[in-house]
Amino acid sequence: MTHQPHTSAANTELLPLLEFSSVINSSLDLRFILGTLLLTVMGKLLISKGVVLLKKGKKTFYIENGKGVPKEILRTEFEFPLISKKKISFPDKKYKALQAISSLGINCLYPILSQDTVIGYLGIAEHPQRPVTKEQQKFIDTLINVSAAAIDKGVAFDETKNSNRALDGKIQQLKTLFDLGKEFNGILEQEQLLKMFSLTLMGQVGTNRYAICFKEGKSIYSRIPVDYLEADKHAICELATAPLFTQKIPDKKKYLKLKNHLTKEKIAALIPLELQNEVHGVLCLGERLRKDPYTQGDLEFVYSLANLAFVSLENTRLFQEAVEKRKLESELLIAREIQQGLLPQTLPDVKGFEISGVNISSKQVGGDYYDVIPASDGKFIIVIGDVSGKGTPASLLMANVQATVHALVPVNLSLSEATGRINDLIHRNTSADKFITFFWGALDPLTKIFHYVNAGHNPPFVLRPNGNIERLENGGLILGILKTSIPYEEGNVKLNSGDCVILFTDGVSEAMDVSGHDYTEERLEQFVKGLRHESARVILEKIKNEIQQYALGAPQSDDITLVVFKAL
Amino acid sequence: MSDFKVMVRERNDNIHTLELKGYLDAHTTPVLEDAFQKLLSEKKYRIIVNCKDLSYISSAGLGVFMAFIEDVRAEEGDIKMSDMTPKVFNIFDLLGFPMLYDIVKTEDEAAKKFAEKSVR
Repeated sequence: MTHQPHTSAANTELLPLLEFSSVINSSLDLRFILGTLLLTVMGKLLISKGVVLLKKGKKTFYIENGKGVPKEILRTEFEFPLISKKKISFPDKKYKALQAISSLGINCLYPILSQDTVIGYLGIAEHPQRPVTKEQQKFIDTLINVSAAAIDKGVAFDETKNSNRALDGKIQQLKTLFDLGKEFNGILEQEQLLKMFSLTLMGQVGTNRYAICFKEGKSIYSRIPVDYLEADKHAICELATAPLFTQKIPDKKKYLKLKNHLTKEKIAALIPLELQNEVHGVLCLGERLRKDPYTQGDLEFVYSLANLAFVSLENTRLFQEAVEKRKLESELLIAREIQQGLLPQTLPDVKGFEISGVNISSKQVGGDYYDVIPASDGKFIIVIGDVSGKGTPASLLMANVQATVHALVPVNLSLSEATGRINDLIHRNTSADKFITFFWGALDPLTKIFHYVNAGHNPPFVLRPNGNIERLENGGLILGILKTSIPYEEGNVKLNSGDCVILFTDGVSEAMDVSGHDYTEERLEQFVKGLRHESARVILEKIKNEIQQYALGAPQSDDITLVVFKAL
Repeated sequence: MSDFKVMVRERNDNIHTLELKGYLDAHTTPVLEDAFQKLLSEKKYRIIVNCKDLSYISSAGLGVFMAFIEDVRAEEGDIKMSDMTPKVFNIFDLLGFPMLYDIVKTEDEAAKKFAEKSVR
């Protein structure tokens, strides 16, 4: 019977310990484990404050749990000068750096050892009037020993949980980027694309304030006033060469106003929008609605997202441009068809003569013109002209000349008078930089006399069977430069059998080879001399081939037009 | 083409429930946007989003909630969510939505939260 009280005393010590052990070892929840440890110690010692510090870095510890202390100090970190495996009591000179802990009222730290290494400390506020007895100390040591393994497990579980969550977060971000990449490819409308981007941005980072400032063009604002940012967008673009937190904008005088404004508008960061390493705009990212700050990782994600959207936006723009261009091209193609329709499709038969003509335009529409028009008096009007400039403006003027020529042919006017009228008309209706070199003549098949006026055009050749060449130079000024004051001079030439007239535009004489040299009229003269016994059609074909051979590899810069007629 | 539907139901406690069904992604977000837009234009600001039959939600879908929450709260209303499957809740949770929104187990629980607030 004498043993009984002893047994019961052992029971009162052991039973709670056993229960404590089974409770904390059945849990993986660190908060619960530490909470139970703290409350048990505090209950046993009748004290009101306790904390548990856990090891984070080599000598860094942080407060993981605490009872009777302000909530704010949780997660506070401390650098330990040395890691003691024995109880530390404050004040202690060596641990002066830990004053912050002692100022909480904590005055001793018990090491928590797992496999003989310190994984943390249990800190308590020992009552000055009731120092911890040896027995209590033993009890605390035992509790800590029993808890150590559970704390270890709990920490590992927490870490796994946290890294799993971080991983889930990353997977979610990647999935978003992947989905959006797919989505953006299918969208061809800018507005729809921006909508999808903004919703994704808002959902992913939890903000509803943002602005997209484009260096060129209209910016986009959501819940942020436009005026200020718009005025300062170039400074913003200059500043944000990489994702930048607003707080980290350098405190230079020139950025001060901008920084203040961004802070006031709750813009947390600037994200550059880049194309080929050049900043084209900046996404101003508003604070989160739930107020927690962005991490560097968040900024990097937003950067990826925003640039994915921006590249797609740019592609959309390029696509629209390509569509516009194609439309324009097809319109030009129609213009070309119309213009080609203005040139003669077939040339009339002229008794006693053989006539050939060709026009090859350098652009889709050109400014060269040639024509052979039968007149009511049995003569044939043969025309060649070259409008200054190229493309659509030149072709419009050419169409105008064509109409005027056709209108004047039936009118009973001399060539000189008619030329004067065309000149005045062009002069009146076009600016000074628009002019036309123009040559025309009336061929009489009966008399075989060719009556002509040359208004500044490359003088046509008259190629005689003996190889002599004469130039048809009589006339006057280029059309469209000055009002007609001196009448255009007329010239005439008698064409005998075998005589051939070659009309050409400067696209022939000024055709360029790859090194930029002109073909020249001299060279053309030499070339056609060798063709003097050929038919008009063969002469035309051979000149055409010669010019195309000469200019092989170089881009054709001007229209090429040729008219050849020969007396049979 | 993914399938997504929103059903609007008027409860008898001056609360409107949006029942989401299907796959809420970039394609289908306009459907939800329109539904919110319509409620707001009718000045109905007490909204429960019942997610019982919501099988997936993308970031763009979550963005719709962000787009409207400030306007709704400015009118003393709220958007509360209920009946999420664990999979859907996980997405809301990962992106920190529980810190901004009441996300509860059942629609009635959400309605009760509205009631509590109006008593206060």
